[in-house]
Amino acid sequence: MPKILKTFCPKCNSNITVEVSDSVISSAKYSPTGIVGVVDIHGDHALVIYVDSNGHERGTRVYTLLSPAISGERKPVIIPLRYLDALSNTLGFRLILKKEDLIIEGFKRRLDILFKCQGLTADIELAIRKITGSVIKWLRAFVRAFDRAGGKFRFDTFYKCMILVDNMIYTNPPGHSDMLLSLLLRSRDIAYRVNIKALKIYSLMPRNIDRYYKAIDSGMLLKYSGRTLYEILADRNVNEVWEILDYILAMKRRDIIEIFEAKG
Amino acid sequence: MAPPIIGKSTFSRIISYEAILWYLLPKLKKICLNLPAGRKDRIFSLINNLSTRKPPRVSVNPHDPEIRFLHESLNLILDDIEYVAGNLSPSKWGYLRNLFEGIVQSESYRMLIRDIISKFKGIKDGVILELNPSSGRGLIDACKILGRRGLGVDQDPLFTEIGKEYAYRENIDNVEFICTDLSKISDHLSAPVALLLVTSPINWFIDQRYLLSKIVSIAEVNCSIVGLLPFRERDEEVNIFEPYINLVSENRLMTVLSSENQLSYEGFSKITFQKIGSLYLFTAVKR
Repeated sequence: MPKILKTFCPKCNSNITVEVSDSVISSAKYSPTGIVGVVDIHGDHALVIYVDSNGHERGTRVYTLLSPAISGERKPVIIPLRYLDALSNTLGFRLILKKEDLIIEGFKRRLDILFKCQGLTADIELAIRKITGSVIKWLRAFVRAFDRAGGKFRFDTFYKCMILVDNMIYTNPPGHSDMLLSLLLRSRDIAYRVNIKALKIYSLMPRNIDRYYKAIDSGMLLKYSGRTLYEILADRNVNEVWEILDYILAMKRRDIIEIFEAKG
Repeated sequence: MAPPIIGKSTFSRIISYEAILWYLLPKLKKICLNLPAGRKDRIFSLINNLSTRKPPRVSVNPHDPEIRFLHESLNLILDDIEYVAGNLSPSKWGYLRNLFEGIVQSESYRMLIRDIISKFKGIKDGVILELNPSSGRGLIDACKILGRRGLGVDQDPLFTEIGKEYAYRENIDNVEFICTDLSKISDHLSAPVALLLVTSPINWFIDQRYLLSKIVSIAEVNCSIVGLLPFRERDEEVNIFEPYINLVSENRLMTVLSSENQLSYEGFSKITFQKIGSLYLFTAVKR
Protein backbone atom coordinates (compact mmCIF):
# COMPACT_ATOMS: atom_id res chain seq x y z
CA MET A 1 0.00 0.00 0.00
CA PRO A 2 1.49 3.37 -0.99
CA LYS A 3 2.68 5.57 1.79
CA ILE A 4 2.01 9.30 1.97
CA LEU A 5 5.11 11.31 2.74
CA LYS A 6 5.14 14.98 3.64
CA THR A 7 8.21 17.17 3.18
CA PHE A 8 9.23 20.75 2.39
CA CYS A 9 10.87 22.22 -0.72
CA PRO A 10 13.37 24.95 0.24
CA LYS A 11 13.47 26.34 -3.31
CA CYS A 12 9.78 27.11 -3.71
CA ASN A 13 9.14 27.31 0.05
CA SER A 14 6.16 25.00 -0.16
CA ASN A 15 4.98 21.89 1.68
CA ILE A 16 5.09 18.89 -0.58
CA THR A 17 3.04 15.72 -0.33
CA VAL A 18 4.22 12.71 -2.34
CA GLU A 19 2.98 9.17 -2.65
CA VAL A 20 5.68 6.56 -2.12
CA SER A 21 4.78 3.26 -3.74
CA ASP A 22 5.62 -0.25 -2.51
CA SER A 23 8.18 -0.63 -5.27
CA VAL A 24 10.10 2.41 -3.97
CA ILE A 25 10.11 1.05 -0.42
CA SER A 26 11.22 -2.32 -1.73
CA SER A 27 14.07 -0.68 -3.69
CA ALA A 28 15.23 1.04 -0.51
CA LYS A 29 15.21 -2.27 1.34
CA TYR A 30 17.49 -3.88 -1.23
CA SER A 31 19.68 -0.80 -1.78
CA PRO A 32 23.24 -1.04 -0.35
CA THR A 33 22.75 2.25 1.48
CA GLY A 34 19.24 1.44 2.62
CA ILE A 35 17.79 4.53 0.95
CA VAL A 36 16.58 5.52 -2.53
CA GLY A 37 15.86 8.88 -4.10
CA VAL A 38 12.55 9.86 -5.70
CA VAL A 39 12.19 12.97 -7.83
CA ASP A 40 9.39 15.51 -7.74
CA ILE A 41 9.49 18.09 -10.56
CA HIS A 42 8.59 21.69 -9.63
CA GLY A 43 8.72 23.73 -12.83
CA ASP A 44 12.33 24.88 -13.13
CA HIS A 45 13.78 22.65 -10.39
CA ALA A 46 13.56 19.11 -9.10
CA LEU A 47 13.29 18.04 -5.47
CA VAL A 48 15.00 14.71 -4.72
CA ILE A 49 13.55 13.07 -1.62
CA TYR A 50 15.56 10.29 -0.01
CA VAL A 51 13.34 7.54 1.34
CA ASP A 52 14.31 4.63 3.59
CA SER A 53 12.87 1.12 3.74
CA ASN A 54 10.22 2.25 6.22
CA GLY A 55 8.98 4.90 3.87
CA HIS A 56 10.36 7.76 5.96
CA GLU A 57 12.11 10.77 4.53
CA ARG A 58 15.84 10.77 5.18
CA GLY A 59 16.75 14.11 3.52
CA THR A 60 16.14 16.21 0.43
CA ARG A 61 18.20 17.95 -2.22
CA VAL A 62 17.20 20.51 -4.88
CA TYR A 63 18.56 20.41 -8.45
CA THR A 64 18.03 23.03 -11.17
CA LEU A 65 16.51 21.72 -14.39
CA LEU A 66 18.42 22.59 -17.61
CA SER A 67 15.14 22.97 -19.43
CA PRO A 68 12.07 23.78 -17.36
CA ALA A 69 9.32 21.19 -17.40
CA ILE A 70 6.03 22.01 -19.00
CA SER A 71 3.49 22.98 -16.37
CA GLY A 72 1.59 19.83 -17.11
CA GLU A 73 -1.71 21.56 -16.62
CA ARG A 74 -2.59 20.96 -20.27
CA LYS A 75 -3.31 17.43 -21.35
CA PRO A 76 -1.51 16.31 -24.52
CA VAL A 77 -3.38 16.41 -27.81
CA ILE A 78 -3.51 12.82 -29.01
CA ILE A 79 -3.27 12.20 -32.75
CA PRO A 80 -5.72 9.48 -33.90
CA LEU A 81 -4.12 6.23 -35.04
CA ARG A 82 -5.37 6.58 -38.62
CA TYR A 83 -3.14 9.64 -39.13
CA LEU A 84 -0.11 7.62 -38.10
CA ASP A 85 -0.63 5.11 -40.93
CA ALA A 86 1.21 7.48 -43.26
CA LEU A 87 4.32 7.12 -41.10
CA SER A 88 6.04 3.87 -42.02
CA ASN A 89 9.23 4.18 -39.93
CA THR A 90 7.94 6.20 -36.98
CA LEU A 91 6.30 4.27 -34.15
CA GLY A 92 5.38 7.33 -32.16
CA PHE A 93 6.23 10.96 -31.53
CA ARG A 94 5.69 13.72 -29.06
CA LEU A 95 5.99 17.39 -29.90
CA ILE A 96 6.34 19.82 -27.00
CA LEU A 97 5.74 23.43 -27.97
CA LYS A 98 7.23 25.53 -25.23
CA LYS A 99 5.72 28.91 -25.95
CA GLU A 100 2.23 27.53 -26.46
CA ASP A 101 2.66 25.09 -23.55
CA LEU A 102 1.20 22.46 -25.83
CA ILE A 103 1.99 18.78 -26.22
CA ILE A 104 0.98 16.86 -29.32
CA GLU A 105 1.61 13.16 -29.45
CA GLY A 106 0.73 10.06 -31.38
CA PHE A 107 1.78 6.48 -30.74
CA LYS A 108 1.08 3.37 -32.76
CA ARG A 109 1.60 1.26 -29.67
CA ARG A 110 2.82 1.54 -26.09
CA LEU A 111 6.45 2.58 -26.11
CA ASP A 112 9.04 3.12 -23.41
CA ILE A 113 12.05 4.39 -25.36
CA LEU A 114 11.97 7.67 -27.23
CA PHE A 115 14.79 9.80 -28.62
CA LYS A 116 14.47 13.41 -27.57
CA CYS A 117 15.94 16.53 -29.11
CA GLN A 118 15.54 19.88 -27.42
CA GLY A 119 15.32 23.23 -29.12
CA LEU A 120 14.58 26.79 -28.12
CA THR A 121 10.95 26.72 -29.16
CA ALA A 122 10.13 23.02 -29.28
CA ASP A 123 11.26 19.60 -28.14
CA ILE A 124 10.62 16.53 -30.23
CA GLU A 125 10.58 12.97 -29.02
CA LEU A 126 10.60 10.17 -31.53
CA ALA A 127 10.32 6.41 -31.44
CA ILE A 128 11.59 4.79 -34.61
CA ARG A 129 11.81 1.25 -35.97
CA LYS A 130 15.59 1.20 -36.35
CA ILE A 131 18.16 3.53 -34.83
CA THR A 132 20.83 4.93 -37.13
CA GLY A 133 23.04 8.03 -37.04
CA SER A 134 20.80 9.73 -39.58
CA VAL A 135 17.82 9.58 -37.16
CA ILE A 136 19.62 11.82 -34.67
CA LYS A 137 20.64 14.22 -37.45
CA TRP A 138 17.06 14.48 -38.71
CA LEU A 139 15.75 15.10 -35.20
CA ARG A 140 18.25 17.94 -34.78
CA ALA A 141 17.28 19.41 -38.14
CA PHE A 142 13.58 19.18 -37.24
CA VAL A 143 14.06 21.00 -33.96
CA ARG A 144 16.20 23.70 -35.62
CA ALA A 145 13.47 24.09 -38.22
CA PHE A 146 11.03 24.96 -35.45
CA ASP A 147 13.43 27.55 -34.10
CA ARG A 148 13.83 29.02 -37.61
CA ALA A 149 10.06 29.10 -38.05
CA GLY A 150 9.93 31.44 -35.05
CA GLY A 151 7.68 29.15 -33.06
CA LYS A 152 4.66 29.69 -35.32
CA PHE A 153 2.80 26.42 -35.38
CA ARG A 154 0.16 24.94 -37.67
CA PHE A 155 -0.74 21.32 -37.28
CA ASP A 156 -1.22 20.52 -40.96
CA THR A 157 2.25 21.73 -41.96
CA PHE A 158 3.78 19.97 -38.97
CA TYR A 159 2.08 16.77 -40.11
CA LYS A 160 3.53 17.18 -43.62
CA CYS A 161 6.97 17.65 -42.03
CA MET A 162 6.53 14.47 -39.99
CA ILE A 163 5.68 12.51 -43.14
CA LEU A 164 8.66 13.96 -45.00
CA VAL A 165 11.11 13.25 -42.16
CA ASP A 166 9.67 9.76 -41.71
CA ASN A 167 10.22 9.08 -45.41
CA MET A 168 13.82 10.29 -45.44
CA ILE A 169 14.93 9.35 -41.94
CA TYR A 170 17.37 6.65 -43.03
CA THR A 171 19.28 8.90 -45.45
CA ASN A 172 21.72 11.51 -44.18
CA PRO A 173 20.07 14.93 -44.20
CA PRO A 174 21.76 17.66 -46.26
CA GLY A 175 23.21 20.67 -44.47
CA HIS A 176 20.21 22.80 -45.42
CA SER A 177 17.54 20.32 -44.23
CA ASP A 178 16.56 22.58 -41.32
CA MET A 179 15.94 25.47 -43.74
CA LEU A 180 13.91 23.22 -45.98
CA LEU A 181 11.78 21.88 -43.10
CA SER A 182 11.21 25.39 -41.79
CA LEU A 183 9.90 26.43 -45.22
CA LEU A 184 7.45 23.55 -45.01
CA LEU A 185 6.42 24.48 -41.46
CA ARG A 186 5.73 28.05 -42.58
CA SER A 187 4.32 27.11 -45.99
CA ARG A 188 0.83 28.44 -45.25
CA ASP A 189 2.23 31.87 -44.44
CA ILE A 190 4.93 32.46 -47.03
CA ALA A 191 5.07 33.05 -50.77
CA TYR A 192 7.79 34.16 -53.18
CA ARG A 193 8.23 36.62 -55.99
CA VAL A 194 10.52 36.13 -58.96
CA ASN A 195 13.29 38.47 -60.14
CA ILE A 196 12.54 38.21 -63.85
CA LYS A 197 15.96 39.36 -65.03
CA ALA A 198 17.81 36.95 -62.76
CA LEU A 199 15.52 34.15 -63.91
CA LYS A 200 16.19 35.02 -67.54
CA ILE A 201 19.96 34.83 -67.03
CA TYR A 202 19.51 31.56 -65.18
CA SER A 203 17.34 30.13 -67.98
CA LEU A 204 20.04 30.96 -70.53
CA MET A 205 22.63 28.88 -68.65
CA PRO A 206 23.36 25.80 -70.80
CA ARG A 207 23.82 23.61 -67.70
CA ASN A 208 21.51 24.99 -65.05
CA ILE A 209 20.19 22.99 -62.13
CA ASP A 210 16.77 22.28 -63.70
CA ARG A 211 18.31 19.06 -65.00
CA TYR A 212 18.43 17.69 -61.44
CA TYR A 213 14.70 18.14 -60.81
CA LYS A 214 11.62 16.36 -62.19
CA ALA A 215 8.85 17.93 -60.12
CA ILE A 216 9.59 21.58 -60.89
CA ASP A 217 11.46 23.84 -63.31
CA SER A 218 11.98 27.53 -63.90
CA GLY A 219 8.77 27.79 -65.94
CA MET A 220 6.68 26.42 -63.08
CA LEU A 221 8.53 28.63 -60.63
CA LEU A 222 7.36 31.68 -62.56
CA LYS A 223 3.83 30.32 -62.85
CA TYR A 224 3.49 29.89 -59.05
CA SER A 225 4.98 33.26 -58.18
CA GLY A 226 2.88 35.05 -55.55
CA ARG A 227 1.10 31.90 -54.32
CA THR A 228 1.73 30.47 -50.87
CA LEU A 229 4.08 27.48 -50.73
CA TYR A 230 1.20 25.49 -49.26
CA GLU A 231 -0.80 25.92 -52.49
CA ILE A 232 2.20 24.88 -54.59
CA LEU A 233 2.78 21.75 -52.50
CA ALA A 234 -0.89 20.67 -52.35
CA ASP A 235 -1.57 17.20 -53.80
CA ARG A 236 2.14 16.44 -54.13
CA ASN A 237 3.71 13.24 -52.89
CA VAL A 238 6.48 13.39 -50.33
CA ASN A 239 9.34 13.11 -52.85
CA GLU A 240 7.89 15.93 -54.93
CA VAL A 241 7.48 18.09 -51.82
CA TRP A 242 11.18 17.59 -51.03
CA GLU A 243 12.22 18.40 -54.60
CA ILE A 244 10.11 21.53 -54.84
CA LEU A 245 11.32 22.93 -51.51
CA ASP A 246 14.92 22.09 -52.40
CA TYR A 247 14.51 23.90 -55.72
CA ILE A 248 12.95 26.94 -54.05
CA LEU A 249 15.88 27.16 -51.64
CA ALA A 250 18.29 26.84 -54.58
CA MET A 251 16.53 29.69 -56.37
CA LYS A 252 16.60 31.81 -53.22
CA ARG A 253 20.36 31.26 -52.96
CA ARG A 254 20.72 32.61 -56.46
CA ASP A 255 18.58 35.69 -55.75
CA ILE A 256 16.15 34.51 -58.40
CA ILE A 257 13.31 34.56 -55.88
CA GLU A 258 12.57 36.55 -52.77
CA ILE A 259 10.46 34.92 -50.05
CA PHE A 260 7.95 37.08 -48.17
CA GLU A 261 5.16 36.75 -45.60
CA ALA A 262 1.85 36.25 -47.39
CA LYS A 263 -0.99 38.23 -45.92
CA GLY A 264 -4.34 36.63 -45.09
CA MET B 1 59.75 27.85 -74.12
CA ALA B 2 57.37 26.00 -71.82
CA PRO B 3 54.78 23.78 -73.53
CA PRO B 4 51.23 25.21 -73.51
CA ILE B 5 49.16 24.29 -70.48
CA ILE B 6 45.80 24.08 -72.22
CA GLY B 7 44.83 22.34 -75.43
CA LYS B 8 44.01 23.99 -78.74
CA SER B 9 40.23 23.43 -78.61
CA THR B 10 39.96 24.85 -75.07
CA PHE B 11 42.08 27.78 -76.18
CA SER B 12 39.81 28.56 -79.17
CA ARG B 13 36.65 28.43 -77.09
CA ILE B 14 37.96 30.87 -74.50
CA ILE B 15 39.24 33.25 -77.19
CA SER B 16 35.82 33.32 -78.86
CA TYR B 17 34.13 34.58 -75.67
CA GLU B 18 36.34 37.64 -75.63
CA ALA B 19 34.86 38.72 -78.94
CA ILE B 20 31.57 39.35 -77.11
CA LEU B 21 33.25 41.90 -74.85
CA TRP B 22 34.52 43.82 -77.88
CA TYR B 23 31.12 43.61 -79.51
CA LEU B 24 29.38 45.12 -76.45
CA LEU B 25 31.88 47.93 -75.94
CA PRO B 26 29.84 50.60 -77.81
CA LYS B 27 26.78 49.72 -75.71
CA LEU B 28 28.85 49.94 -72.53
CA LYS B 29 30.11 53.38 -73.55
CA LYS B 30 26.59 54.63 -74.19
CA ILE B 31 25.18 53.23 -70.97
CA CYS B 32 28.03 54.60 -68.83
CA LEU B 33 26.60 58.09 -69.27
CA ASN B 34 24.24 57.21 -66.40
CA LEU B 35 27.02 56.41 -63.94
CA PRO B 36 28.45 58.75 -61.27
CA ALA B 37 31.16 61.07 -62.59
CA GLY B 38 34.30 59.40 -61.20
CA ARG B 39 33.37 55.91 -62.33
CA LYS B 40 32.08 57.15 -65.69
CA ASP B 41 35.33 59.04 -66.40
CA ARG B 42 37.45 56.05 -65.50
CA ILE B 43 35.50 53.65 -67.71
CA PHE B 44 35.39 56.17 -70.58
CA SER B 45 39.16 56.57 -70.50
CA LEU B 46 39.60 52.77 -70.58
CA ILE B 47 37.19 52.43 -73.51
CA ASN B 48 38.92 55.26 -75.40
CA ASN B 49 42.25 53.51 -74.99
CA LEU B 50 40.75 50.29 -76.36
CA SER B 51 39.17 52.04 -79.34
CA THR B 52 42.67 52.86 -80.67
CA ARG B 53 43.16 49.12 -81.26
CA LYS B 54 41.47 46.72 -83.63
CA PRO B 55 39.56 43.89 -82.01
CA PRO B 56 41.07 40.45 -82.57
CA ARG B 57 39.74 38.48 -85.53
CA VAL B 58 37.96 35.52 -84.01
CA SER B 59 35.20 33.37 -85.44
CA VAL B 60 32.21 33.17 -83.14
CA ASN B 61 29.34 30.74 -83.45
CA PRO B 62 26.23 32.70 -82.38
CA HIS B 63 24.26 29.44 -82.01
CA ASP B 64 26.70 28.02 -79.47
CA PRO B 65 24.65 27.90 -76.20
CA GLU B 66 27.60 29.17 -74.16
CA ILE B 67 28.20 32.10 -76.51
CA ARG B 68 24.50 32.91 -76.45
CA PHE B 69 24.42 32.73 -72.65
CA LEU B 70 27.38 35.09 -72.26
CA HIS B 71 26.15 37.55 -74.85
CA GLU B 72 22.55 37.77 -73.67
CA SER B 73 23.43 37.78 -69.97
CA LEU B 74 25.90 40.61 -70.40
CA ASN B 75 23.30 42.50 -72.43
CA LEU B 76 20.74 42.13 -69.64
CA ILE B 77 23.23 43.19 -66.99
CA LEU B 78 24.35 46.22 -68.98
CA ASP B 79 20.70 47.23 -69.38
CA ASP B 80 20.52 47.45 -65.61
CA ILE B 81 23.85 49.19 -65.22
CA GLU B 82 22.83 51.61 -62.50
CA TYR B 83 21.74 48.73 -60.24
CA VAL B 84 24.88 46.71 -61.00
CA ALA B 85 27.32 49.58 -60.56
CA GLY B 86 25.58 50.85 -57.42
CA ASN B 87 25.80 47.57 -55.54
CA LEU B 88 29.45 46.86 -54.94
CA SER B 89 29.40 44.39 -52.10
CA PRO B 90 29.51 40.73 -53.18
CA SER B 91 26.34 39.99 -51.22
CA LYS B 92 24.43 42.35 -53.49
CA TRP B 93 25.77 41.08 -56.78
CA GLY B 94 22.41 39.41 -57.39
CA TYR B 95 22.27 38.19 -60.94
CA LEU B 96 25.98 38.77 -61.53
CA ARG B 97 26.24 35.66 -59.42
CA ASN B 98 24.17 33.79 -62.02
CA LEU B 99 26.54 34.98 -64.76
CA PHE B 100 29.57 33.67 -62.86
CA GLU B 101 27.85 30.40 -62.06
CA GLY B 102 27.00 29.98 -65.75
CA ILE B 103 30.64 30.58 -66.74
CA VAL B 104 32.07 28.23 -64.12
CA GLN B 105 29.51 25.49 -64.83
CA SER B 106 30.11 25.70 -68.61
CA GLU B 107 31.72 22.92 -70.59
CA SER B 108 34.51 25.29 -71.66
CA TYR B 109 35.50 26.01 -68.07
CA ARG B 110 35.43 22.31 -67.25
CA MET B 111 37.67 21.62 -70.27
CA LEU B 112 40.04 24.31 -69.00
CA ILE B 113 40.20 22.74 -65.55
CA ARG B 114 40.73 19.25 -66.98
CA ASP B 115 43.58 20.50 -69.17
CA ILE B 116 45.19 22.31 -66.23
CA ILE B 117 44.80 19.57 -63.65
CA SER B 118 46.18 16.88 -65.98
CA LYS B 119 49.54 18.69 -65.65
CA PHE B 120 49.50 18.40 -61.84
CA LYS B 121 49.12 14.73 -61.21
CA GLY B 122 52.54 14.53 -59.52
CA ILE B 123 52.05 17.24 -56.89
CA LYS B 124 53.02 16.72 -53.28
CA ASP B 125 50.60 15.50 -50.62
CA GLY B 126 48.05 17.98 -49.45
CA VAL B 127 44.72 19.59 -50.23
CA ILE B 128 43.58 21.59 -53.21
CA LEU B 129 42.58 25.09 -52.18
CA GLU B 130 40.56 27.35 -54.41
CA LEU B 131 40.07 31.07 -53.79
CA ASN B 132 36.58 32.36 -54.58
CA PRO B 133 35.46 29.16 -56.34
CA SER B 134 32.03 30.60 -57.27
CA SER B 135 29.78 27.51 -57.63
CA GLY B 136 32.79 25.27 -57.01
CA ARG B 137 32.73 23.31 -60.27
CA GLY B 138 36.46 23.76 -60.89
CA LEU B 139 37.37 22.62 -57.40
CA ILE B 140 35.01 19.62 -57.46
CA ASP B 141 36.37 18.47 -60.84
CA ALA B 142 39.99 19.03 -59.77
CA CYS B 143 39.48 16.98 -56.59
CA LYS B 144 37.82 14.18 -58.57
CA ILE B 145 40.69 14.04 -61.09
CA LEU B 146 43.48 14.14 -58.51
CA GLY B 147 41.67 12.18 -55.79
CA ARG B 148 42.44 14.85 -53.21
CA ARG B 149 40.49 16.67 -50.55
CA GLY B 150 39.50 20.21 -51.47
CA LEU B 151 38.69 23.45 -49.71
CA GLY B 152 36.89 26.32 -51.40
CA VAL B 153 37.10 29.69 -49.67
CA ASP B 154 34.64 32.34 -50.82
CA GLN B 155 33.86 35.75 -49.39
CA ASP B 156 30.28 35.49 -50.65
CA PRO B 157 28.02 33.47 -48.29
CA LEU B 158 25.57 32.65 -51.07
CA PHE B 159 28.27 31.23 -53.32
CA THR B 160 29.45 29.13 -50.38
CA GLU B 161 25.93 27.71 -50.05
CA ILE B 162 25.77 27.09 -53.81
CA GLY B 163 29.08 25.22 -53.69
CA LYS B 164 27.77 23.04 -50.83
CA GLU B 165 24.59 22.47 -52.83
CA TYR B 166 26.52 21.05 -55.80
CA ALA B 167 28.71 18.93 -53.53
CA TYR B 168 25.62 17.46 -51.84
CA ARG B 169 23.84 16.87 -55.12
CA GLU B 170 26.80 14.96 -56.56
CA ASN B 171 27.53 13.06 -53.32
CA ILE B 172 30.91 14.72 -52.95
CA ASP B 173 32.18 14.39 -49.40
CA ASN B 174 35.84 15.31 -49.87
CA VAL B 175 35.26 18.97 -50.79
CA GLU B 176 34.39 21.61 -48.23
CA PHE B 177 33.20 25.15 -48.86
CA ILE B 178 33.61 27.89 -46.28
CA CYS B 179 32.79 31.57 -46.24
CA THR B 180 35.53 33.74 -44.86
CA ASP B 181 37.77 36.64 -45.73
CA LEU B 182 40.94 35.74 -47.67
CA SER B 183 43.03 37.02 -44.77
CA LYS B 184 41.61 34.32 -42.46
CA ILE B 185 42.15 31.25 -44.64
CA SER B 186 45.00 29.88 -42.54
CA ASP B 187 42.59 29.52 -39.59
CA HIS B 188 40.74 26.87 -41.59
CA LEU B 189 43.66 24.90 -42.99
CA SER B 190 44.33 21.64 -41.18
CA ALA B 191 46.56 20.16 -43.90
CA PRO B 192 49.24 21.56 -46.23
CA VAL B 193 48.10 23.04 -49.53
CA ALA B 194 49.43 21.11 -52.51
CA LEU B 195 47.68 23.12 -55.21
CA LEU B 196 46.22 26.61 -55.05
CA LEU B 197 43.65 27.46 -57.73
CA VAL B 198 42.81 31.05 -58.68
CA THR B 199 40.91 30.37 -61.89
CA SER B 200 37.34 31.45 -61.13
CA PRO B 201 36.21 34.74 -62.80
CA ILE B 202 35.30 36.24 -59.39
CA ASN B 203 39.03 36.78 -58.85
CA TRP B 204 39.15 39.17 -61.83
CA PHE B 205 37.25 41.71 -59.72
CA ILE B 206 39.67 41.62 -56.80
CA ASP B 207 42.61 44.00 -56.60
CA GLN B 208 45.47 42.03 -58.14
CA ARG B 209 48.18 43.25 -55.80
CA TYR B 210 46.06 42.21 -52.83
CA LEU B 211 45.22 38.88 -54.47
CA LEU B 212 48.86 38.10 -55.25
CA SER B 213 49.87 39.02 -51.70
CA LYS B 214 47.28 36.52 -50.38
CA ILE B 215 48.51 33.84 -52.78
CA VAL B 216 52.05 34.43 -51.56
CA SER B 217 51.05 34.21 -47.88
CA ILE B 218 49.01 31.02 -48.33
CA ALA B 219 51.41 29.05 -50.55
CA GLU B 220 53.93 27.05 -48.54
CA VAL B 221 57.10 25.43 -49.84
CA ASN B 222 56.46 23.10 -52.81
CA CYS B 223 52.91 24.40 -53.19
CA SER B 224 51.90 24.77 -56.85
CA ILE B 225 49.67 27.62 -57.94
CA VAL B 226 47.49 27.99 -61.03
CA GLY B 227 45.72 31.20 -61.91
CA LEU B 228 43.67 32.62 -64.76
CA LEU B 229 43.67 36.41 -64.63
CA PRO B 230 43.51 39.32 -67.04
CA PHE B 231 46.76 41.28 -67.10
CA ARG B 232 47.96 44.20 -69.18
CA GLU B 233 50.55 43.21 -71.73
CA ARG B 234 52.11 46.67 -71.42
CA ASP B 235 51.44 49.34 -68.85
CA GLU B 236 49.84 51.73 -71.33
CA GLU B 237 47.73 49.08 -73.04
CA VAL B 238 44.29 48.57 -71.47
CA ASN B 239 42.89 45.04 -71.25
CA ILE B 240 39.41 44.45 -72.76
CA PHE B 241 38.18 43.11 -69.41
CA GLU B 242 39.03 46.33 -67.59
CA PRO B 243 36.02 48.55 -68.46
CA TYR B 244 33.67 45.72 -67.40
CA ILE B 245 35.62 45.01 -64.21
CA ASN B 246 35.52 48.70 -63.36
CA LEU B 247 31.71 48.66 -63.36
CA VAL B 248 31.92 46.79 -60.07
CA SER B 249 35.34 47.49 -58.62
CA GLU B 250 38.17 49.96 -59.06
CA ASN B 251 40.75 47.53 -60.28
CA ARG B 252 43.76 48.64 -62.30
CA LEU B 253 45.33 45.55 -63.73
CA MET B 254 48.98 44.71 -63.32
CA THR B 255 51.20 43.95 -66.27
CA VAL B 256 52.32 40.40 -66.98
CA LEU B 257 55.90 41.36 -66.30
CA SER B 258 55.21 42.98 -62.93
CA SER B 259 53.20 40.00 -61.75
CA GLU B 260 55.91 37.62 -62.91
CA ASN B 261 58.50 39.72 -61.09
CA GLN B 262 56.41 39.73 -57.94
CA LEU B 263 56.06 35.97 -57.96
CA SER B 264 59.77 35.52 -58.55
CA TYR B 265 60.63 37.99 -55.79
CA GLU B 266 58.38 36.13 -53.36
CA GLY B 267 60.20 32.87 -53.91
CA PHE B 268 58.27 31.17 -56.69
CA SER B 269 60.02 29.21 -59.43
CA LYS B 270 58.98 27.41 -62.63
CA ILE B 271 56.81 30.43 -63.45
CA THR B 272 54.95 30.07 -66.76
CA PHE B 273 52.41 32.28 -68.47
CA GLN B 274 50.18 31.19 -71.33
CA LYS B 275 48.35 34.00 -73.12
CA ILE B 276 44.75 33.19 -73.98
CA GLY B 277 43.58 36.35 -75.71
CA SER B 278 43.46 38.93 -72.91
CA LEU B 279 43.60 36.32 -70.16
CA TYR B 280 46.76 34.76 -68.82
CA LEU B 281 47.00 31.29 -67.42
CA PHE B 282 49.95 31.19 -65.05
CA THR B 283 51.56 28.48 -62.96
CA ALA B 284 54.35 28.55 -60.41
CA VAL B 285 55.84 26.54 -57.56
CA LYS B 286 56.93 27.93 -54.20
CA ARG B 287 60.59 27.10 -53.49
